[in-house]
Amino acid sequence: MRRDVFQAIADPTRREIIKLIAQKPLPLNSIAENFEVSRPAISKHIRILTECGIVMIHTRGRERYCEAQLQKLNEVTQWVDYFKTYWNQKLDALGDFLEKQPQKPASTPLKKKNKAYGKSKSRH
Amino acid sequence: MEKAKVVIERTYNASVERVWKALTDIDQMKQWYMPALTSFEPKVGYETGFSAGKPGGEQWLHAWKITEVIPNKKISYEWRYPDFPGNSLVTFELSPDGEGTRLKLSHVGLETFEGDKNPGLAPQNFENGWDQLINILLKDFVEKVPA
Repeated sequence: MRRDVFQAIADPTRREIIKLIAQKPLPLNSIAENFEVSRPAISKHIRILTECGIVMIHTRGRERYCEAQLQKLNEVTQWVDYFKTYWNQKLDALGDFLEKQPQKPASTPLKKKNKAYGKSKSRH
Repeated sequence: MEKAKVVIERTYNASVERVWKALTDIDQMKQWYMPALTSFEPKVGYETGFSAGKPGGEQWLHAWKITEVIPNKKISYEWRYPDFPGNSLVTFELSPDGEGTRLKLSHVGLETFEGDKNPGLAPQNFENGWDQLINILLKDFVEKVPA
């Protein structure tokens, strides 16, 4: 099964877990206390997060600490952020461009285009 | 499952034909969209390449390859940086909206651009705190991703 950053964040509980440990590593037990779902369910989410490379587990004494590895997440959100800004600027520019263009007089935008292409098969 | 993408919808006070022309006619595209464009034809399989970047900043090689064309309705092309890993897909879809035109832009496959190796990020120098990152950016695009 493919494990990547998108699978990691597809689930709301996993997003909450990431938020919880984004500031500092926490023991698995105290993470589980923040959720109403069962501890095994939280363990499973954390296992998925480790497989996606978003969480690393360190053992300290008898506790297992979960630490967020947010580099991967950051890379992806940066790309999304970058292109979101880019496209918003471009689509604004398109709007300005269309405004400046001379309007065609009395165009008929509701022309019927009922070409039945692809409907009749030729029989030979 | 859908991956990292940007989806934006706009309505323009212009006919579908005019918006289509702005999206596919090289002379018009150069005016509002991609001044560096050297060649473009809305034909499936057509490929074009050019260098572009921020004015005065570093320029990056871009490669586009057209994958789908439905005149006045839809055009899709691959968008990649030949010097770097990854390939994405840009799609413009048009539909009449009263006297105007509804445009839907989607840009998918952004996760294939590996952040640390790629050009778009280098000049950006993002300084978002984790809190902002997770609460705003992440939420923003996750909500558009079907789980």
